[in-house]
This record gives sequence, structure tokens and C-alpha cells, in this order.
Amino acid sequence: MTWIVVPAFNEEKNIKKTILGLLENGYRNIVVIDDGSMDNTAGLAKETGIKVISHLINRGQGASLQTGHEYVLKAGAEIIVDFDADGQFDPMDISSAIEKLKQENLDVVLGSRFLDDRSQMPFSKKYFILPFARFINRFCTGIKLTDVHNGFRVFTRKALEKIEITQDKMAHNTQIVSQIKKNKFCFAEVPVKVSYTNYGQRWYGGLEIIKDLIVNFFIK
Amino acid sequence: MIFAQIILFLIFIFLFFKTGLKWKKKELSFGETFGWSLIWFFGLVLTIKPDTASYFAKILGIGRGVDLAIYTALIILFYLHFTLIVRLEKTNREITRLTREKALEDKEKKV
Repeated sequence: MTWIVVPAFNEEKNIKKTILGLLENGYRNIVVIDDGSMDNTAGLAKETGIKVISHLINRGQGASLQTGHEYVLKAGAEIIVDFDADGQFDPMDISSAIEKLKQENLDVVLGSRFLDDRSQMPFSKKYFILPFARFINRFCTGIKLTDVHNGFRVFTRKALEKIEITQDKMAHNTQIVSQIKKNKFCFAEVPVKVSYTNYGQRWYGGLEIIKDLIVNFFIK
Repeated sequence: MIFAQIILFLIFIFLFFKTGLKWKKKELSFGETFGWSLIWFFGLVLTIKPDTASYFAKILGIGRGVDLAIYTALIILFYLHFTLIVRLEKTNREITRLTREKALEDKEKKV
């Protein structure tokens, strides 16, 4: 059974389109984690008939994903897909990622915007922010990836049972890659298309991630 | 003793007193009480004998006693600030855990 986990915060403009795209592609098991949105994200998601879990207050994307992961594991998910709510991912990419996971007997598949030229990234992001972020990610995790901080991931149940996200905000991406390394999971990257409707995370968001990773080091 | 010294002396005595009181009320552990008392003690010594700072500054290769006091204060402030950040993050994680449990519990009730 495949489950799609969609963390959402103030996404009333995109949530319905995102969910309908997933439904049209045959994915029926979808859970949206409404992360304390102040708009009608939860209401619109419920209208589509899928499962919606609501955080009373905003806790961040990492926290939402962990909530979603716990829910789908309890629901008996065998394959779990993390998928952003902002409508920037293409649902058609899910099937090829799952196919790769199964065919190559992998534990995790990560999406990459750099493996084909379908993603039209903003210039500054493509040539400055992401290469620097990639370097930081490699330094922190020891894993060399072609992309960084991409919300598209596919896990097997076995892998997800061992991954715990304690980073509530955006540093969860680095934390997940760290846990892939720590647990010696077999992983691969697949090309994904990201259609930019907004700029997304800016360079100072990266500084926040570095701060969170440093603080995390002292909490353990 | 000049006026500033008298004021500082009284402040440090007050801080000693407050620390002792907090220990008595069990709001501070023995280690914390000892640590804070040590800081107030050095403050008192430096207030009564300001030349002591210059003596230690020379040993450490820092020019003036007042520079040593500023550097020490900066290190202590930085440490305390960092401790606060870590404590805040721990509290945040607790809040997230509670939010998650409530969200999952509510979902289960609805099913």
C-alpha cells in the first residue's frame, strides 16, 4: 500500500490542485498534515475526501512530516511518498520513483532537480544558493547528492520505521539524509520536475538551517 | 572606597543573598549555587581590590584589567545565551510532541 504524505501550511491556493493531481494519477491514500494554517487549507483538503490531520499550532515542515509518517506507518503503509503541497512537484514522477525503489531493491529514493532539465530554477538558486547548500549538506551528512533540500522522497516502510525527524523546521532534510547514512540505507536519486510558482527558500533560510543543525548537536 | 565601589559591593552582596535564598528554596542545585556564588565572589574581590584584575590580565597576556573583565563578561554572556537557545529548542520539541499527539489522537477519535 502506497501512502502520500503532504505537509501543508497556508496553501489554500494550491492544495486542491495538488491533491486532485495525485488522485488523477491513481493515488488514493493521501494524508495532508495541516500545520496550523490560518487560511482554509484544511477545509479545502477535506473537500477532496482524503485524510487530513491538523496541528493546532504551526510547528514547521519537519514536524508535519514526522506526524504524517507516524500516521501512515500506523495505517499500514508499505511505500511512503513525501510530496509538497505547493503544487510545484509533478505527480507523474511518483510512479517512476516507486518503480526504481522496487526494481533496485532500494530503501529510499530522493528527487533531484539536477538530473534533467525539466525544472526551470531561478538563476541565483541554481548557480549560487543550491551549490553552496549542497556543499553544506555533504559536509554535514557525508553523502554526495546532486540536489539538496528537495521535498520529494520515497521510503520503504522498513526504512521509515528507522527515520525519526526531530528537526521541526527545514533542517529535517539534512537530518533525513544523515539518517540514510547512519542506517546504511540503499538509496538513489531520480529526476523530478519542479515548477517554480514562487522563489521558495531564500539564502537566509539556509543560515537558519545551519543554526538548527548546530543547536541539534548540543541537544543530543 | 569610592561611590561606584560601594554600589557594586552592595549589588554583589544582594546577589549572594538571593543565590543562597534560591538554594534554600531548592530552586538551585548545589552545583548551580556554587557556580553562581563563585562568580559573585570574583565580582566582590574585583570590586574591593580592582588591581587584582590587572594582575590576572598580565598573567593571561591581556593589557588591562578592565579588558579582562569585559572579555570574561562576554564569554559568560555568550555561554548563557547559547544555553538559553538550547533550552528553548528542547521546549519547542516538547511542544511539537504534544501538538503531534493531540493531532493524531483527534484523528483517531474521528475515525
